[in-house]
Amino acid sequence: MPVSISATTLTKDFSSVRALNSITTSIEKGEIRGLLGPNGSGKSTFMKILMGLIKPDYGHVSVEGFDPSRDPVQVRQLVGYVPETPRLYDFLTGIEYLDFVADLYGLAPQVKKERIDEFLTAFELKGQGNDLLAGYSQGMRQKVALSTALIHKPKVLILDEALNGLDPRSAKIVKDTLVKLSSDGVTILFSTHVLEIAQAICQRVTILDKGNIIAEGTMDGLRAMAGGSTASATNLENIFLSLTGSSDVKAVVEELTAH
Amino acid sequence: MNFTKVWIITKSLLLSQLRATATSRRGSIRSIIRRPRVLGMLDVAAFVLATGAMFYISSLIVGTPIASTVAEYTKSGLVILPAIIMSMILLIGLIFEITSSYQFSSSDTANWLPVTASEYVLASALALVIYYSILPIVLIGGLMPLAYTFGLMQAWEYAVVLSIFGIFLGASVLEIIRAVLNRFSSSFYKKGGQAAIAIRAITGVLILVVFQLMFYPTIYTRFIGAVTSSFGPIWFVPILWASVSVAAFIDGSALVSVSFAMLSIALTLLLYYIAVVARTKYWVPMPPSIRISSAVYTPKSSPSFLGFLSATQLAIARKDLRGLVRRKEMLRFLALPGVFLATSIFSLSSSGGMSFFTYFGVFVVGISSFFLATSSVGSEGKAITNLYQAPVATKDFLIGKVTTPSIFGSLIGILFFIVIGALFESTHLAEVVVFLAISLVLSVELSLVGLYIGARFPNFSEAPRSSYMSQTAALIAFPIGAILIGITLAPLFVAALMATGLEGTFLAFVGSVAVAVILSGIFYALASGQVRRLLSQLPF
Repeated sequence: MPVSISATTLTKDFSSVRALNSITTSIEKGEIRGLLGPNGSGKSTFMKILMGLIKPDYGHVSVEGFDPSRDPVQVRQLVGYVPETPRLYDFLTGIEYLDFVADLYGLAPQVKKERIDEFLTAFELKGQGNDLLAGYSQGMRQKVALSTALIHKPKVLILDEALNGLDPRSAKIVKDTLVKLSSDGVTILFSTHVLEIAQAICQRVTILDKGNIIAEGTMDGLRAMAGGSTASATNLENIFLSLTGSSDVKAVVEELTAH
Repeated sequence: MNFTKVWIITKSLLLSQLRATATSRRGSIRSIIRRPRVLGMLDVAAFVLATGAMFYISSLIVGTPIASTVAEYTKSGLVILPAIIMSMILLIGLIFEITSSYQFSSSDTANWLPVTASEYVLASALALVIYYSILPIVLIGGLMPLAYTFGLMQAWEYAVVLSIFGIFLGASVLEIIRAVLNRFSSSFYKKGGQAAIAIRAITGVLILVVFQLMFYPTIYTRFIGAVTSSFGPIWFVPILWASVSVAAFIDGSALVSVSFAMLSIALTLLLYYIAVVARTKYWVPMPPSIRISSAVYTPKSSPSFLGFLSATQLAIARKDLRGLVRRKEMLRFLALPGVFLATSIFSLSSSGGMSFFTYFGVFVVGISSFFLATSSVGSEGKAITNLYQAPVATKDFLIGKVTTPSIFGSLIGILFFIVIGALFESTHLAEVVVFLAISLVLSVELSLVGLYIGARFPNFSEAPRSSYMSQTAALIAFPIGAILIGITLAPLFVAALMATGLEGTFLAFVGSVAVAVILSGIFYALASGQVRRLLSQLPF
């Protein structure tokens, strides 16, 4: 399969903190790649570099053949992105906001109308479409953000914890949509802390820790890496905790609840 | 009231305000002016500088024929000092402080921590006073050497004490406006439609203009001056009580002086009390949920007069226009022209007449476009990410962002000159047309200048006391805007001074347009470069 996203020796520092340390990876067209890691492991930084929102200090990235730091506008035309904390314009209504984003992507009026109607219906926002976003709940705002990422039918989706705050129905719709888009050839890079979701929909998983890729591969590959076929390595949560050295959970809980 | 708690809140608000203008990508603090202590040091430096400079000037004046005139001016200065400082705090507060977004009104920790309204209002007023302390300190420091030279030192000390109450009076009024605006914004909860938005914007502007006029001393002095030839009945105006007290002190009328000082202090305490009541009664931290329209969605097509804009540029401009009329924190920009024009009407001398009005009208158009444009980048806040993650090119961003302030300034210009045209139709119609045309050109020029400054010194921080441009920009913006307006209007000024007649005015108009076009070109290029740098990566 052709490569959609590639990163070579990607490095990024913030002052004295190394957010990414010589990351090299590639994602095939149509693949759903899960990006996992503890807080501060560099997931969001990696995604922002792919979007051209921040520049790497060293290394090279390519998204659909474009370098995001050189051709950010071309990359953004092809990519749909949901940031970790979507910031919407609170003084616009849901519809006005979608309309605004659709205009930025240059969608024709009729296409715009159809797409906006589709998303409002799918995410059950039809009744609130004309309300100001200031009055939306977190889940409703997340639905709007997801709609804007999908509105222009992107070739690549970069979703930074995009299922946060969604109700079960909407989360199911998004998961199924991602699987369908993937089968249509859309590449999806998906970060989450909900490991069951990653296990359910991702074809491959990359685990970041302190700016380094500590594991990458299919579920079977990761399982083997974390301890073969032992009982503790059967699900992604245990694999993740084992690989990131976070298996002291029980001791921490006991410490916190001790009198 | 727990004063320790008040001081803790004051410090946190002050830090929020100071650092809102200066946080870098990683939250490290780069600028020097980030700590209240440094602000205090700057105040001391400003006081020493102002005092030193005026001591030197005083030494030159003593023994000269103008000494007695300067002594009289010093007396007048001391008399009006409390009123001037109060209205200064009020105007600055109105322009830079009065509104904060719904988001931070509701997320302000004071909403859920155990803080009483009286503690919060006092802390908020203190934070504002300390933040802008440099301006009153320069005035007070500048007057001290003059007072010393002319034997008015005790009067200076007396005026300073009353000025401190004047500062708190101004700050208390701002707290009242804050609470009233919050209440009336939130009163639209679950009501809506375009009419509600329009009423909200108009009422908000009226509240700001009326409050500013109510506490603008010149209005009262002019009104009283018009009624009587002396300023005898000035005691009738509460905000001038402190000035009456200082005047009586200088005249040696101890009883009158003490009485009016007491009245002035009582007024300050009363307004503080009203501010506390207003906050207790009206503070509604919940963001309003407004339904704009129940109509079925249909994609909007471009207005024909904006047909030259691309879809992206138009989307940005339309979004900014909506923000201008819908965002509570943008009300000050809508109110600014009204405040300038209303206060100027009461300030101008009758001999100024038509000429003053036309020039001042053009100035208001330029400065309104300018301030709106300087804030257009920073006012995006963190939501500017929307423009980064979409395929927005430099040119689209620039033109989209310049459109709203240009339209805003042009509309003010058209409204203003229609009124002026109606007033002076018979004698000055050609002049009105010339000034209307130059104000339209100027609004585009100043929008470009403002965008350059806004993109060069943006402040995206979203804190309870954040502004939209850095402290540096806030200091340099107004002088730069005023100077560029002056340069653009210079040919018209010269023609007016030389009394060249209509033909000369027309030639001067062509000259002014040429200057405006050249400056627009320069600032378009500068703003392009700045926007390109800004868009190269996320600024936070």
